[in-house]
Amino acid sequence: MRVILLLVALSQAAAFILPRSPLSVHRGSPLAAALYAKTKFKNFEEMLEKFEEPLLVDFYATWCGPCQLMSKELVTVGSTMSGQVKVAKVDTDKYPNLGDKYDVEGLPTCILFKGGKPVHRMIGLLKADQIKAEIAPFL
Amino acid sequence: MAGKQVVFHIGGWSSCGFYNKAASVLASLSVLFPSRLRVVNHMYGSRDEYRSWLLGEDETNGFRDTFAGVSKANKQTSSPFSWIEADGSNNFVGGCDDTLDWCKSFVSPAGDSGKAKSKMQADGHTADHGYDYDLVVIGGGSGGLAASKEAARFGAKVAVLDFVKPSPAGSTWGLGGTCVNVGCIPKKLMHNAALIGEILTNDVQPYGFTAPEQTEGHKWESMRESVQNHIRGLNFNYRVTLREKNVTYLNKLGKFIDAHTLELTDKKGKVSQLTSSRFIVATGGRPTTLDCEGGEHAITSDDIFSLEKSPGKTLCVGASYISLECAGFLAGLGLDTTIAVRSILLRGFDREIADKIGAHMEDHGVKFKNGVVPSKLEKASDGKITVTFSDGSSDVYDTVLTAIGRRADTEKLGVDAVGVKTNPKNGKIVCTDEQTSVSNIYAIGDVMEGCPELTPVAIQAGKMLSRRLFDGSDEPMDYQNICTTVFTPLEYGVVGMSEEDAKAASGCGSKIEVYHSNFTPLEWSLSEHRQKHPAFCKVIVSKDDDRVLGMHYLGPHAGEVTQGFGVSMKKGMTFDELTNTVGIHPTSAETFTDLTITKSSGESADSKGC
Repeated sequence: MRVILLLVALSQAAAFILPRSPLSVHRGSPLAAALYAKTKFKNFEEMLEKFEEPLLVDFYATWCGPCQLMSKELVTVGSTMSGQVKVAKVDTDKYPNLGDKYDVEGLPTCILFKGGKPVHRMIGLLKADQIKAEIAPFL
Repeated sequence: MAGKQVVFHIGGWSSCGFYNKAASVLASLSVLFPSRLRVVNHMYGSRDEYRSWLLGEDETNGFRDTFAGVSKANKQTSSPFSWIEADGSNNFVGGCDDTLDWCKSFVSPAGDSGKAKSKMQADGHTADHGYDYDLVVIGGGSGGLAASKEAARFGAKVAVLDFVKPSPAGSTWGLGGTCVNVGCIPKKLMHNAALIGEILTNDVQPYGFTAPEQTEGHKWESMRESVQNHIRGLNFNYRVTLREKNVTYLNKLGKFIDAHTLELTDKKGKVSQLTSSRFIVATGGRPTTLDCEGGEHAITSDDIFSLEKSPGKTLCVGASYISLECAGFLAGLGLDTTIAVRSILLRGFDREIADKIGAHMEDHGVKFKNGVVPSKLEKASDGKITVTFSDGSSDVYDTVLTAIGRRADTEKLGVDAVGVKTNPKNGKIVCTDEQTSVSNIYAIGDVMEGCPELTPVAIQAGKMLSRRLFDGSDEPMDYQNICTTVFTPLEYGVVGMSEEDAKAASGCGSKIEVYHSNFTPLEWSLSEHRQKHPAFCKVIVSKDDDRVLGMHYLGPHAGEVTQGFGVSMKKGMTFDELTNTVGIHPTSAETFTDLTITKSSGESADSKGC
């Protein structure tokens, strides 16, 4: 259904806490342009709380080839599973602290959040069917 | 260790087991190496007689007291007591253990300096120091990252600060330092692009391929994108690795307030502080800018690798490796390239090789303006830059690249405030075994005076420093015989001394022999154009002991060819050992094992057939 591109200004770093800042959604790549939803949240944690559905977050980078291919697969997942899961993307170059917080060590990494907590992690490029099969047990 | 004969004295008494042990080792060595060692024994019949000689009548005027100011000698009472006589004075060695240590180093190969101990002073670090960190590394480049990860390996609490001050042209980059972002990595990739261009021009047809349609020539934007994407991947990897190794990464600019406190500023301008028991400064260097009128219109190596549009017709100002390597690949990509040389190419490098590199580049289409510097740059509204040179000539370029030197990045560090001594000429920090004039502050890499400006040197020095700081090691960094390669269109690999340095070191030219050879790499044989310039190698040998003092290779894959010889040079290889090594055929590297022609013979260095 909708892939939300997040602009998250995150709070956590190991020893220094920066203040929370407002987050807004941003029209990103041509892929998201047709699919974006404008929603305002205070920060990533708040967004996790507010979403009742499970949230599948794709951690990516613009320079990462497999990430671009993964985006396309996620659009399929989002559209065929709308109502069951929402799909969102985080640019780890823009928000490195988020990547650090969720221990993202390779790209792409997809984390399924339920009730604000990470419940499943997939690393590397997967096809839409594989992604759906992996997250199904958690929904 | 060839050269003068050592005169070694050892005193002791006849039934002393330690004296006999040390003296017998010395006797064997002097039998084996009579030209290098002469031993003088001072054997006393009894302990009392020995002590009477050593300590004197009232223990204040014995032989041991003739070593003025050497407290270890002045306090010794045991047997044996040894010293070396040199140029009329006596140098204290010690007892049995010290004598045997000396004997071991006497028989070690010349290149083996592993016995040397670091001269670092204690810096007051204790486990319960109470500061925020055990170690804060300022600078997340080659040296800084290596040092921080190594220190964390030994359990130290470590943080790395990395903050890139944008270049005057506005370029900035991620974690990893100069090498990864604006140095070795993009340079080698773009140099490789130029080599691919050469293959397309020279080799496609003779090797039987059909030339692909090259309607657009080289597309700068595509190359730039691939290179930058790779660099961003490396930036990401470094971040992840620091996290894995438990090193805290802070994207902030650090400045010393006192020897244990740093003021930090983040990119939004927010200021904070942290304290640490120890610091390592690894801030590296930045390009020196052109100070003539209009110099601000020029870019530097900080900018060239991320330039969005092709640099077009380019002037490179400078004649050392950064300028030559950049001009080399720009010309190789088909761009109109000129180099403005103030005096000579590659100052400090072997002259003969530097001249050959220049000649090859000229044949390759690079234009040289010799003996000039730019005196004025004027930028027109269409972006083109008119450069007026010191000889009155002028020309118009799309891009001017300044590569006239690099200066240590210590200006905003606050080193003066804490008393860290720097060299005023270049801002570099003066150190002994990487320790600055402030005992708990250290420095490694390009920012340190006397450190060869090479990534692997900084990495090695950083690791060894961390071992000394947190693992009780006393091994100093060995800066001798470091191999390096200049990636000009005709690549140059070198380990050891230049011919000029070897001549100067040996006193006069007759103590060294130079073997050399011009050769054509087999792969070039099918292309007429490539054969116009032969490859070249030479080896400088000491006539005293046949030891190889320097190896020089000018040809393809120079880095790969040179690396292995680095180990041989460390072990003090002789020319005999080199030429007795069976070569791998057919390669360019094997030329080293076939060398027979000397410069002194006057014979042609051109190699004959196979």
